[in-house]
Amino acid sequence: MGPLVRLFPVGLCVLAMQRTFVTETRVAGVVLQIVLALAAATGAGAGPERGAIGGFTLGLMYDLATGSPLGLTALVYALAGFVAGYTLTLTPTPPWWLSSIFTAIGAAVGETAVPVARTLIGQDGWFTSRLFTIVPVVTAFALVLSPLLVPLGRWCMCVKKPKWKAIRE
Amino acid sequence: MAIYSMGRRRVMILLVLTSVLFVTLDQRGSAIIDRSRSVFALILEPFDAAARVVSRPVINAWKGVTEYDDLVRENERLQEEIDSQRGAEIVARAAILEYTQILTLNRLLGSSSYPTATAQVQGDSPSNFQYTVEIDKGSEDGIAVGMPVVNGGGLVGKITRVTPNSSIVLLIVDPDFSIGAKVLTEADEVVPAPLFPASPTGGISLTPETPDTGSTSTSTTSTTAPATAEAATSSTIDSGQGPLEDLPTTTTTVAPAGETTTTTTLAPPVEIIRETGTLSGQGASLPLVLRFIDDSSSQGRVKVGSTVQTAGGTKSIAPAGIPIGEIVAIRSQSGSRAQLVEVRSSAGDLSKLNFLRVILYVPNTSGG
Repeated sequence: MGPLVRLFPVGLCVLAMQRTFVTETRVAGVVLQIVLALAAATGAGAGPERGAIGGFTLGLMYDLATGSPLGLTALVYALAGFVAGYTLTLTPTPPWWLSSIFTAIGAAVGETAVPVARTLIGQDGWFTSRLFTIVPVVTAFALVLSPLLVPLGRWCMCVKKPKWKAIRE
Repeated sequence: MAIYSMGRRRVMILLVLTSVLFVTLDQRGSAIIDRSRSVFALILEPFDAAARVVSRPVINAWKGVTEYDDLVRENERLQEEIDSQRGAEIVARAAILEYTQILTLNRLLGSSSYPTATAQVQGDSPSNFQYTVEIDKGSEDGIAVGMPVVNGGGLVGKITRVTPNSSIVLLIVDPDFSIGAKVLTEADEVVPAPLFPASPTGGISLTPETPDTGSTSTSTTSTTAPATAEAATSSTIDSGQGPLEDLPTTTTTVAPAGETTTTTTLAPPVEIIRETGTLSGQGASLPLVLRFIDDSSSQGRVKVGSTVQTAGGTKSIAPAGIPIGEIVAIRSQSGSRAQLVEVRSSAGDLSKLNFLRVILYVPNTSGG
């Protein structure tokens, strides 16, 4: 229950930022995705399982807030956290730049998975050339914010440095 | 650390199954999920409000930096448009008044006959794969799921989610949006020919030679006036300008010899072609697409520039007659008789919406 107690209020704050500040300040017409970046950063900081659970929780909150089909964004963000968590398979104490790279990869996978998931539930029409603009911008945003979000995600999932060693072992 | 492990696999399978369960329940329409959304919206509301207050100066500064040049250009363009539309507005107002009078006389309901709720846009969609806006009116203001939303230009979208104090509007450009629409087109003009040609011997000819032609017809009546008539008089009901142009024109001439000739020129009857189909979005940068119910019916009948309106009907979410846009292109599709009709929305730039009107319209599903 510990991680959820921390993740829920942090998620509310980040979600509020996403719905106001981040949505209004677009880059090249693309809405930056701070919740997705946090989901991926949680994975990069806390490992695949915790990243998946953290991403799932954040995605579920996102679905409840935005009216998208409940569970859809949750699945996608869980995937993003899971993928980003593989940084800890390379080294148990990754340097900040490696965590940033994996956060960006997780965000890219997550943003690409959104139209795939929508198509699977019958909502066609999202595979357009605009994807080639959206994914790089969202990825770059996650990369830039990762030095802040990775420690935050790690704190949300109650992962401390000694626990990392336990993961390694 | 192993890439694959039993625990990791279990976690992922559990999350996937939970997601599928939630999606299924949501797609089937679950009251529990709707209630959960309402509760979560209430929890999130203070966070949203605080974030809005804190971020407003930053957003304004950001927009000042990134959008200043665009705003100047847009301002100049809009000023030119306003100037050019002033004259057209006066004519349009007269037409609207007449249209309203006709609807009242015939006891018909137009789209302006329904009550509306004016709302302000609170925010855009936070996703890149969803074209929605959130407005600051909800179920407490009488708004319900499915109601049409318009702005000054025409149809903007429909309500898809409602909480007590806010609602989510699915915009018309979203690929998930669809609505019944009709195209109104004037038929091509036909070479005018007299319906009742004057007899060579005078009098009335009641034998139409070409009964199915005309857009214009003229009838002439000659009578013998009393011999006391001395002066020649002529009276003309002039059509004048504006909406009266289509009224019949009558000319009466009393000749000195005592013969009165009355010539009535009927205005060309305007044949309106009405095609019905389903309109859907394709994304923000692409035009709307109209697909006709009968693939062959549209061929050669709808034209670029024709207006598109909501079709109405007992199953439609919107009353008939709300403007949607105009046809900008008609394309043939290889291997199909159906034509792809592209429509430009008349609602303007949907990424810069501010005030909207929700038409509090509930379809009359009883059909009566």
